Amino acid sequence: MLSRVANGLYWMSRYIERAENTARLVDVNLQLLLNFRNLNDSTLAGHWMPIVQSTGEEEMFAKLYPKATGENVSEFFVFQDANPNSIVSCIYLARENARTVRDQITTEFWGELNRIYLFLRSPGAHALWNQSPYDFFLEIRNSSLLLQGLADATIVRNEGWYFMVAGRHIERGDKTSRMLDVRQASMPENGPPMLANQADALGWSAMLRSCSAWDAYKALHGSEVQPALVAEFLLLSEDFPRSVRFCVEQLNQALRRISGVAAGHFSNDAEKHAGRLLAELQFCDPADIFDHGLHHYIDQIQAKLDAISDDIFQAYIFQPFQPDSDNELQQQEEQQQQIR
Amino acid sequence: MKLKVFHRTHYSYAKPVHDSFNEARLQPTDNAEQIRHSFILKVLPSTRLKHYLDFYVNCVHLFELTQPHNELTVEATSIVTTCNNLRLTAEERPALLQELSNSSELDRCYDFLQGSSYVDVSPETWRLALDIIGEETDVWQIAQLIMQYINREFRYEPNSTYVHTTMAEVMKLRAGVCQDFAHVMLGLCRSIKLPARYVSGYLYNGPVEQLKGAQASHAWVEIYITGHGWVGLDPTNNQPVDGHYVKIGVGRNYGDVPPIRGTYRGTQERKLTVDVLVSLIDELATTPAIAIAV
Repeated sequence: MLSRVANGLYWMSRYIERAENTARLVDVNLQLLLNFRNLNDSTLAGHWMPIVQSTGEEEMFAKLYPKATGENVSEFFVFQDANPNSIVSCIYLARENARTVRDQITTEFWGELNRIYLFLRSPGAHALWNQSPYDFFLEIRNSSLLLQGLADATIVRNEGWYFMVAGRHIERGDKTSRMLDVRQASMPENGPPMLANQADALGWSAMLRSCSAWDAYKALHGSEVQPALVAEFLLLSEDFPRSVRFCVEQLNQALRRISGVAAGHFSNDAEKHAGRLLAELQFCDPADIFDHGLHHYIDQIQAKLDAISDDIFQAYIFQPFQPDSDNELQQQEEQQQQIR
Repeated sequence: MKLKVFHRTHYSYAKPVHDSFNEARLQPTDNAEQIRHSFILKVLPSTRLKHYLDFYVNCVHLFELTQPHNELTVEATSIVTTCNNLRLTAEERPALLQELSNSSELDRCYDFLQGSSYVDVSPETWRLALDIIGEETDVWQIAQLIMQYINREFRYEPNSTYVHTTMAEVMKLRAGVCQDFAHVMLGLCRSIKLPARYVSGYLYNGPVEQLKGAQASHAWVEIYITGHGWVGLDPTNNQPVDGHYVKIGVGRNYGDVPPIRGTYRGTQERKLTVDVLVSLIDELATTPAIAIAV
């Protein structure tokens, strides 16, 4: 498989996952606004700025928009071409990457990706958005899930497939941690996060819903939101498919299927660092995390996932130039010459 | 007969070399005419082996050694049972050469009727072939005449040629080894539109004590007979192929089935040693039925 092809599949998966997660983030927080009694500039800013900050894009947002209103933030995250992480940009880039590896993905997959791209570029997208943001985001989420299902059901389990799995899970782990980080205002320097008031409880449950984790959390811990348990659930849950630990586990498996190395061993930096991160998440108490500072811990996870992504690039995609001094030579061939 | 084949190829380099990419065609075929019981390929320094089937349906093993190394050893051990019965007796007259041009089977033989990098089918070759066969019209008899001619007129002389010697050079030299004899036979057969293909493999030539000189892999020819498929003839030893022969693969000439081929980066000072040992396990064992080889 060409490095270029592996790179294309990896990033295509990442961008699709990113678009879905951005849709989740904005959707739930828009719905949350319905619960506020009075919406003025400061409550709006207080509501939206943490979200913008959790994606790390305050600077660009500040350049483009004077105020943090629901309208501006949604436009920034959904339709803004200048924002490389907006839904429209992500789908565009996913499609570009898919186009260059067209022979690796099935026709149905390409058809769906192309369809959502064309939809976003059409007036229909803005119309749907104005009419019902909830339906718009549902469209994005469903498209991403359909793409995942199509990939799962039709793509051959070759190296390309495992690059797709790796990309999807790095992105999902990163985005889950960022969604948790939206609540950073209630995360002290050390100690568990606090539930200050009713509004906070709504915020926490909204955040769980954006990860589709509300039902799973409820089944495990009951419907009263306890921030410490939420943090533990989203970071360390072994069984919840969107938890950071679960994603890092999938990432490790995918990396090892690519290189053929056994679990518990590593053959390059990406596997080494991914294995280390998984061990940290596996053998970790919530108390350890809170002592460290939850916000700080989340930042570190994101940095480590970034580093692993770089390692993957170094290990599989990047090829330094050949030194000139060594020419390619033919191996000697043996002449066939036996006689009775 | 049941035979065990051991084939070791050893490369040693004056200075460490790197980025070595190689293909090995060492695995004997497994079909109705030859049963392959086992095949083990060992490469040192050890590396991951992959394999695929090439255009002529030969099994090719691939491996690469990117790290610096001074030596490369490839060892192949196989156990096969070959067919003791002859496909055709010397006197049989199975088909006319003329019939072949009318047969639709000729499409599958297109590659094996043209010249190729080692084999030419020039008018001189054609005239020589016509002289050899005289009035004979039967395919099998014609092929045997060509085989006998080569065995008679060419000297078997190791080190008179080298691995890339073409048929034209061998014709001038009138000497060579099995590889060259096979190429000459291919040229002569193809020039009169008799499909012929190059076969790479091994020959069991008696118990170890009777070895004459270093062993190596062997080459012979298969010709196509309508209604009988591909039948083997060995111009080096002037005999049809029987249970003593272990077949690895086929191609248009040596270039399609070299036992090992590869590239590497580094020094040109290198040495190649090859050891082949074919030993007998059971003389009477044979494959159950004769089927038409395609």
